[in-house]
Amino acid sequence: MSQGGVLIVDDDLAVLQALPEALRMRMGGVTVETAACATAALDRIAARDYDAIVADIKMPGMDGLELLAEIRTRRPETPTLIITGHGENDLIVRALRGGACDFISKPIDRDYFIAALHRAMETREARRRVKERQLALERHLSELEAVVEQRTRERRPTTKVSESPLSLLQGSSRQMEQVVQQIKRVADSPLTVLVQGETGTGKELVARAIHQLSARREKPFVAVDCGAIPDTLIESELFGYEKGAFTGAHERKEGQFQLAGGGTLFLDEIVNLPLATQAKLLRALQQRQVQPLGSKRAVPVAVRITAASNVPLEQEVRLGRFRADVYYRLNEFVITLPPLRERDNILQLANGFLAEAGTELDRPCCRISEAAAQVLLRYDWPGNVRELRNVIRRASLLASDVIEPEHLAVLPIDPRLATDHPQEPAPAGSSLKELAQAATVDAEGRAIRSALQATRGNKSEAARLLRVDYKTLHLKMKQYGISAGQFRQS
Amino acid sequence: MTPLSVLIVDDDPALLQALPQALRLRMGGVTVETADSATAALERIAAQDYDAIVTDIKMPGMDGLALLAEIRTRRPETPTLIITGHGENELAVHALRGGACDFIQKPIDRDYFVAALYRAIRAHVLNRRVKDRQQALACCAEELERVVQKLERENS
Repeated sequence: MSQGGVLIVDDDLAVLQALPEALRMRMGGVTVETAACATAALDRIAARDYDAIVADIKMPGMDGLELLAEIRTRRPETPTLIITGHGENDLIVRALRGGACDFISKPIDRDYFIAALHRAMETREARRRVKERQLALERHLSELEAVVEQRTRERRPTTKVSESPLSLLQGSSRQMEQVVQQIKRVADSPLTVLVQGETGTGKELVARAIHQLSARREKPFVAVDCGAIPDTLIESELFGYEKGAFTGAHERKEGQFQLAGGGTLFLDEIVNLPLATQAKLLRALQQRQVQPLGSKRAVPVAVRITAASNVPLEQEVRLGRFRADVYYRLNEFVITLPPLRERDNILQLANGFLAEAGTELDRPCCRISEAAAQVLLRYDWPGNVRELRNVIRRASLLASDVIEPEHLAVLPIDPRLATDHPQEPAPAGSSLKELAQAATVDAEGRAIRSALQATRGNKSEAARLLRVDYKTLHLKMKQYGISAGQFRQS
Repeated sequence: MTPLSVLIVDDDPALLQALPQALRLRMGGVTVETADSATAALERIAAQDYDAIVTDIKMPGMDGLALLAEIRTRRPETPTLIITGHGENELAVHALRGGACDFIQKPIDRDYFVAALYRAIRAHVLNRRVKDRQQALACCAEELERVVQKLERENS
């Protein structure tokens, strides 16, 4: 996708000739493109992210106001200027209320036009910078958090390992007590286990606990995040390859199935496995053997498979996105983790995380105020336990002794606040602009969804569309609880 | 949480009575204050940070447009709605260009008025949340940097 430039939309060919010339003369280096009707403009807008759009209000077919509404939906951050006839105040009011950032009356005063366009583009640029700063801050914070976690793990004496693997899951919650009983029952059986639950509910902790409590505990526990590996690499990652199996295969490499030999292979986010790979996984599950890429011989494997999914696999099967035969194989024993908002021990978990943060981050803070507790109980926790832990750790960095509601400003902004209710009349002028600005962070989730829609769930392509690297996209998807599987064509 | 506060500015005493009542009825928990001139409004604005301001455009002395410009300078983040007479589109255009977030035509449709005000306040609250969060995250990052430095010192 190319970037930048100004798009001028007018059915008057004279304007389409004169304005771009004036712009190029007075705004050095600006790229100007033109469209002679709204439909042509929409095609261009789909392909290119313009810095600003200028549209005549009166055009045959789709008019400028309708085009404006389309732009506000498809490219809410692109400033749009409307060209109106002299004294057409009714139309101007509608355009401004509809989200136009300004209007230019005919006959067009070139100086005014250039100044208005400049203003619009500068505002947009400033907003882009604010958003970039914000993303950079969030990235920096996550990196620091990762460093702290890593250092704390290194410092922690190995005695922690002998601690009950179930301790992390407990906490006097009725629902979790049931899960713990299930883990104890299934751990030492040969059954394949499927762990289902929303993102951040602790699926990997369950898989690890099962491994720790099984006879395989001395053997490796290998976790593979099926969503983090591009479709093209997943098979070589899982099953390994022979030297020369494909360009770049300079030497033989074992797959995760072999590496987990005798232990547990944990396939996280299994719903992301491409259908073709699912077929090979089925063979591995049924015949207990895998065929490395480029090899004629199958290799026997003795691993226990634990799989996890953040969407109900049964539903994916119904939609044709997950193979029924693989599902039935994985389905031998199912553990479903309740989302945090349905649990009755949010505050207890929060206090646990606060104590943990106190030691690990060396914070004096040790209590959550009643008002802050109410905020925690009202929040929806889309990122579940992982999100709660994050929020408490962050809040503990801000508070000196008691966590108060203001320290919970670190909570993500409720996307329901940022999205408009369709039954309401469209917000007017600057309030929409402010909304768009504020909603940028939440708009990210929407942008990712639409990119995945456009690429039918292909994450590599979606990453290219969004101009981010694969890993960033993957992390963001995890953060927003988006799975690529939902977008694959059935 | 502190309740939402709105300032209504109008030289018409009848409106100053009717509008606050309508708001209190339809927006639970909102505090409404009134001012009968732009000058009185500016004094109140200096003392309090309102969640939204609603002002009539035509007032003796300083008018609504001049007041709007002052608000944009002194409290650039406070959303301001303008009340205009029916068909006064030229003034409405001036107001929107001057940074009003919306306008309400007389005779005032109560439903429309409450919806517009609600939208404006929501955008304002959201903006403030974004800023607060940004600031909180920046503080977190600063604190964490200190923690990391300390850990590095202890590890070495």
